[in-house]
Amino acid sequence: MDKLRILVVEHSEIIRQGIFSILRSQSYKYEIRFSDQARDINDQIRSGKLDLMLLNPSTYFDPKGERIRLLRQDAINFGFKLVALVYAYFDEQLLLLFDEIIYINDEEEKIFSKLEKVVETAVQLQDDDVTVSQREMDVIRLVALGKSNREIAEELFISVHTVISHRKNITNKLGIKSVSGLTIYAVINKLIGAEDFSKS
Amino acid sequence: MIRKPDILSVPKKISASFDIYNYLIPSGHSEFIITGESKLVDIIQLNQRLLLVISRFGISLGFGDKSVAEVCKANGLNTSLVLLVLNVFNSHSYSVPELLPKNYIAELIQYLKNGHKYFLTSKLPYIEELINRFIEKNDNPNSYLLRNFFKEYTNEVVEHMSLEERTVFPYILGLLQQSDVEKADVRQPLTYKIDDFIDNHSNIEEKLDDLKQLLIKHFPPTPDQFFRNLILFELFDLDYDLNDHNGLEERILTPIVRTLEKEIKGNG
Repeated sequence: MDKLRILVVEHSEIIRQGIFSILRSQSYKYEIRFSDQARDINDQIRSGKLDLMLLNPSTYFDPKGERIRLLRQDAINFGFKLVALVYAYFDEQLLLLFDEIIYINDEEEKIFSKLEKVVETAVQLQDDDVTVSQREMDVIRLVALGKSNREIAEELFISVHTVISHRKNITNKLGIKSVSGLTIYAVINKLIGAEDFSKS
Repeated sequence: MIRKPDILSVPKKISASFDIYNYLIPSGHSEFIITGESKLVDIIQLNQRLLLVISRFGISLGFGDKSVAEVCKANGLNTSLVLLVLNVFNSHSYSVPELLPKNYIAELIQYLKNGHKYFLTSKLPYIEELINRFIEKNDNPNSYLLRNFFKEYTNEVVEHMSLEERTVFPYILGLLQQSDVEKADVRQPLTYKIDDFIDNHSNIEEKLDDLKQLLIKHFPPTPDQFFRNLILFELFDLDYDLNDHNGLEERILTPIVRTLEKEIKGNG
């Protein structure tokens, strides 16, 4: 694999030096840059040559988390991972927008394993197809009819484990988690009739 | 005094994502902090969301040029608590002190109850009304499904909030009373802990997210987009507001109660 290109957005020189010296021990794996200049960061994002941004979220003036949400959008559009570098309290809801969180007191090993985990998911996500397969449609229909995972497995001649994995993929693709939400999706897309729905 | 960072005056609108990089704080620059001397009107100008906070504290609009401290005094409120809540809502990175006084509890609970009342009697019925208007405007046989879904969601919120009012709040107020009892032997043993009550709010959030996704992505195009947009604006706003509301329970109320539990246990 090529080197992982990391951009670190952090004001503190002490922290920057610390990150650098930790990552340097595995310099064959990581290519690391620092910046806190708006234009420079923007250029790097748009260059498409960024794999991961390590960001101290308090670098932004962002009382409502809007900036981080937009950054999240950029991360999706330009295909990089967003990792938070946290050493003061930060709103947990906003931290959910990050792919991973590195805390100031994490040990070296932990930092490396977190970074590697993030990169792995990056690879997986690229393979993901957002269209719902025929098999997944079948599962949605049966979920909407109120069937349990076991019943679905029996009806489709697959294992319960496979049903669960289908359901996970469905949620990722549609952005719908609840059974009632999936039911509406099924009715809208005519996977089941409205009569079926009112019966169940 | 509010120190208004010059960042606030730079880009008025976040149009392209490029703008966000102009919001980087130069090193050492802090966000604005609300103090007792800050004029309430200035704070609202800077962050309109704080309107919700002041009305939940029972502060009515029309306060002229009064400072936060003056308004609190006029309304019989604990100024330091009001400041804490304003700052936490204003900036998510505002750090909450580790030890908070237990005399915050009664007012906090009242605040949370007022919040519940707002959600249950104003916000949710308003959104339901918008959904009804959406259904009227759009002759789609499936649109009633959205209303049913929203009703399910509403029921979950009602259930969650009334559970808090029936069990959690009385438990906390009971603790408060006990902690005032001087003699340890009069105290009841602790049967619960606040951590037993903390249920995750994620189930409720799930349905709200689903509804947003359905309206944005999945529900077929409708001739009238006005109400559809309006519903979405309200759902995003509700989501934001509920997060702040829950954050207050988790970041401020719960830590005080934990301290109180330790105190009672330690002495008892």
